[in-house]
Amino acid sequence: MTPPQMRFAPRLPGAAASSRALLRVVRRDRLAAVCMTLLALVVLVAVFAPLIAPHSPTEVNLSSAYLGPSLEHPLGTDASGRDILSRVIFGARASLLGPLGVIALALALGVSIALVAAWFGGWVDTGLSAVIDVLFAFPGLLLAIIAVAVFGVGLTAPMLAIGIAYTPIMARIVRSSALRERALPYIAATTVLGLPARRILWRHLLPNVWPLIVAQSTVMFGYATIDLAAISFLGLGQQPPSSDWGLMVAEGRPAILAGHSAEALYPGIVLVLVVLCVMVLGRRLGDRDDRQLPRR
Amino acid sequence: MGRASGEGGGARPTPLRSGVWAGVLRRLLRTLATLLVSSFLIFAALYLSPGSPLGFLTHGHSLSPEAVHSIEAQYHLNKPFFERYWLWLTGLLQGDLGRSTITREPVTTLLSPRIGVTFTLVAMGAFLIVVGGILLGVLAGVSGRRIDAGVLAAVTVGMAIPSFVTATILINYLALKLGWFPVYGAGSGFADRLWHLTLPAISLALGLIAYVALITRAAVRVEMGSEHSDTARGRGLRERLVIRRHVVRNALIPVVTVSGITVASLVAGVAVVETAYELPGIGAYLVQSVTNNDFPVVQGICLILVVVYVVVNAVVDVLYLLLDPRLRRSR
Amino acid sequence: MRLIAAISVVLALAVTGCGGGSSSTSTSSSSSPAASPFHPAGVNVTPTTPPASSTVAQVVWDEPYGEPASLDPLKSYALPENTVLSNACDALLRTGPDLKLQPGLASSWTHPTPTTWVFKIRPGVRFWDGHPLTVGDVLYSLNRHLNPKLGTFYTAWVADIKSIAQSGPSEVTLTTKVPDVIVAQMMASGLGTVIEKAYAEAKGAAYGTASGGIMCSGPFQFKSWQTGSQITLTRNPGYWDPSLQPKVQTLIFKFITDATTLTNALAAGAIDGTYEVPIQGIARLGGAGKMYYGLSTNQGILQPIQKTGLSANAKVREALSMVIDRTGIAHTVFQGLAVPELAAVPPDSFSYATQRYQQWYLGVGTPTTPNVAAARKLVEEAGNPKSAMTIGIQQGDSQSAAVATAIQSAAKSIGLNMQVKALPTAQYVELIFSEKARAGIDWTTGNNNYIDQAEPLQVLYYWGRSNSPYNLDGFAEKEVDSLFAQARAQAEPEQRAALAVRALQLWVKPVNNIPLYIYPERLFMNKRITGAPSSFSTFLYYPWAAELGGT
Repeated sequence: MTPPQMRFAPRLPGAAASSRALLRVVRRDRLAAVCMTLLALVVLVAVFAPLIAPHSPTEVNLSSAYLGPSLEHPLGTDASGRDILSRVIFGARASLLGPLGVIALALALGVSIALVAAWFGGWVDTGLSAVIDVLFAFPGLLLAIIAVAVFGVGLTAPMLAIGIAYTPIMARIVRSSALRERALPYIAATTVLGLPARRILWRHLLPNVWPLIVAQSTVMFGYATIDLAAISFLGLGQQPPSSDWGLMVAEGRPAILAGHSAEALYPGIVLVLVVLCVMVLGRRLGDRDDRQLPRR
Repeated sequence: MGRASGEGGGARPTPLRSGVWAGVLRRLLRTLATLLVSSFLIFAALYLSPGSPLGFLTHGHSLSPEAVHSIEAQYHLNKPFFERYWLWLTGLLQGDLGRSTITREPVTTLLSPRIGVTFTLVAMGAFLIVVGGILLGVLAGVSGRRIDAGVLAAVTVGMAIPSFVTATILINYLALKLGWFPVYGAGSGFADRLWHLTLPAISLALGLIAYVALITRAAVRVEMGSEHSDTARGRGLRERLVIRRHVVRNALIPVVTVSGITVASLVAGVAVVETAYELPGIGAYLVQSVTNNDFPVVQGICLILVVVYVVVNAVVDVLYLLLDPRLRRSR
Repeated sequence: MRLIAAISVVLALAVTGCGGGSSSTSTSSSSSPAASPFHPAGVNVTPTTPPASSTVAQVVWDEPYGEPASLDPLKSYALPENTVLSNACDALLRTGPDLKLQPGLASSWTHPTPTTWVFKIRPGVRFWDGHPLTVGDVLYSLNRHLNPKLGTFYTAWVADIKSIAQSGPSEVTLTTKVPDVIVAQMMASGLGTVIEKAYAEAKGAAYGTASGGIMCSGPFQFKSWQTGSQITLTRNPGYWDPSLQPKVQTLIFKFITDATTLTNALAAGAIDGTYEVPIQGIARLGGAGKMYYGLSTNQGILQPIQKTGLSANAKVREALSMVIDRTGIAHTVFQGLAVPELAAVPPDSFSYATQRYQQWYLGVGTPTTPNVAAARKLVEEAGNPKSAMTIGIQQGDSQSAAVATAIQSAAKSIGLNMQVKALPTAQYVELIFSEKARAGIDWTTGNNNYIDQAEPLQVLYYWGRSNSPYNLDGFAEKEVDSLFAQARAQAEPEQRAALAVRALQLWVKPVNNIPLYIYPERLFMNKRITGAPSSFSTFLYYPWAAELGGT
């Protein structure tokens, strides 16, 4: 589902550098701290998956299917006797790489389009706005499905498609704040000083819009994770024997009928927790007055 | 990016110099242009797709050259690209979406029984989102800290759970264990259909209720603290009346807009929900047709979904232009 | 903090609770037959089910492989089409529950010369609209397959037919190009199905579509086809066969393909029965009705589809065949409802000369458990190839995905690099006839390697003879071709079997199709209904629903 709210820019005056903002949010707020820790943990696990995982995620052992939890297999084994813990651990790579690609693409495209449009204005702005308008006509999930029809199943096509679908959201938000920044006296001053446009864009405009971009990217990461998981669930995304979390839930669903729910359960929980944490953090970053979610 | 909607800072800058009606007209023209370009993109993308529809047509059984030729002629497979696009587009305007390469039936014949299911599902989902979102938002907005926090936590969690996960849980509990709802099918007749589509509509709506709830809550908060509410309170009006007369009414504009846009974005979610519940709607059919390389059907369904999405968004924008009192005042 | 903890608990409860009851996968059969090389232990294989004793107003049946693409017999060469069509349209012959041929619209048939088959057309049969079924309709229907413009899916078979012509007042003669006994068996399939000429001509290209409908003489008449939703048939009160008078008033076919949804629908009674029951759901169906297991001419094989490359290397093939854990696949992927296949010929097809065939089958010597050391040695002899091979499977076929994953893991254990690629349905079926589609795919495995009739020679017809369109790896052995030609000409069963066994042995010895598993057909009917025969290919080529009725 394309996040509809993102068509409106959040009410976000420019803030200090994002890392400092993040630290401040985390220090003030225990829920955010917990989320941050959890996400950091998931990222570490993804990076060091081969060192952490007790088994190979694809090693089939047909004589040990559907084992319960044990020291050897802390989360048990799946229908083909593969270690579920190792699959969830390696699945972090598959499941986080996609959304990361989406954000990277939406950022690169969206920010460049927005800054160029905001800076040059006139027919450049009008032309780019027409492109953005057409892109807005395709909800992310629909664009991903079309991409699969054209380029075939896998991670790449849906990832690029969702990245492109998120581009106009990013572009619009960045453009409007860039316009605001541009009108501020300090930018006008740099223009008067005769600095080249590119330098002003990258050195002065972008850093001031950056906190907003970080907050927006964080929220988008959550949606991208859900969208890509849905594509995997539909059988159009990553294919077996990948241990993408969405795919694991889809593959584990029939086994629930026979009473073996572990394969669908654990990746499902991790997926929901990661998305939840990302969204909580994203909203905290976006809310300067920080009152939208309960604090503990 | 001279688009009227979606600008930052809370208020939407509008082309005031040319007046609201000119803005509406421009919005409509742009919508038409967007639709035309979208139709071209949908057609071109699937034209470029590798793999031949002949594969499915013959079920993998080899076919005589004559038969291949007659199929190619029937599906215009031997005509140049722009001629095929033109044939498709003019066909569209006459209500002809081409023929499925699998069943060889007209796409419109295939879609018409399925569209009803999807439409009902989207309508029910929209109802749940708008009514549920506004109720929850008002509740959170006017209540104390505890209820506010509870509502917020609930809608946030709802947003983080993918619809295919809620589908699995709902079917297992409410349909299988408790038997309150049917486990399968779209039902026949009005009441039966509503009953069959209740769980799918919940799955569809759950992820989106949060937007309407959050915007409603924020709007209510702003209005609660605004001057005329305070004035009303000062005049001795009861709190409940203040909420109903002033707060809710003034909060309505952003809520209407967000609701409209949220509902528009439902169209993408139907593919997942219909597949999870195996409903005979156009969303699940889209996924099936992608798997089968049934391009005329994929083109037809994508076009319908994009048209609905674009048109609903345009209507919301136009409504916004027409309704916003600030814009009216500034004329 | 507490929020997250609470969510985890709720989710954990929600999903674990879903599992519910028993985790046992045992079947509901009362007796426990011992293990055999042909059928799994504890599974009672019975071609028929307890006969129906009462009429039923409505039965809802499922098509687990999805909606038919067409109901025109020209295009009915897959499970969804024939499951419906076998009840609506009569063919000249039928495949009985024991997988042996029975008379259908042909009341009798003879084989006067090596290349001719004479079918006596049953008198007094009427189409649903009351028109009598004539020899003209039979000739029209059968000759449609010979018209290249109409695009029959039975091209491989049609290639061997010289003519189909009237030879008496109610007699039709099929002439083959070479002496042949197996084409005649296909008169029980879409190739021998009879439709009404006048109706089909009036409908033209729309015949067999949802809007065009069909006109036949079968026990159930076509009422409606709501695409995406259901096909509805109703009882034909004037059916000609007194022993197959339908007991079900309305027969509805649904198209649920998802294993979870189908199991839930069966458990809740929304669907009354189905063939090809999803294995993982069987444990859940115990209370709702009964499972039956029938004979089957279906098989799971790993088919090499390239003429060159690693998959064409005899040593690689043999090593792979040696290291695949067939017992593991049967026990785990099929939860004990399959057994290892010992040669790529489904043994339930040994309907004649059974002993001779069985003896041969058991003597092929395919291992059922991996022999890593010997396989590794073969790979060494092949020069320790490093390049990757790819198995193509059909998207959404989770069983084949699990089998392919097991093969991938087995290949890895002997140093072979095997990839798995899921293909969209269209591309998957395209593998068979398009070399372009096969590019980059070395092997394929799936659930569509069945043979139509209980005739082991059909295996050679498809994959063993050098000029078959289905023979994709270019296997060409003069002696196999010659023995096959002799066998297909031989009407006497024992002698045919003797020739067939020699040809089959020459075909399986340099490993070709790698045998994987065989399984009895799985049929479920809920408490309300009984009677349907349970064998595979019977439910494709026999009016099985006419046996269906109340318990």
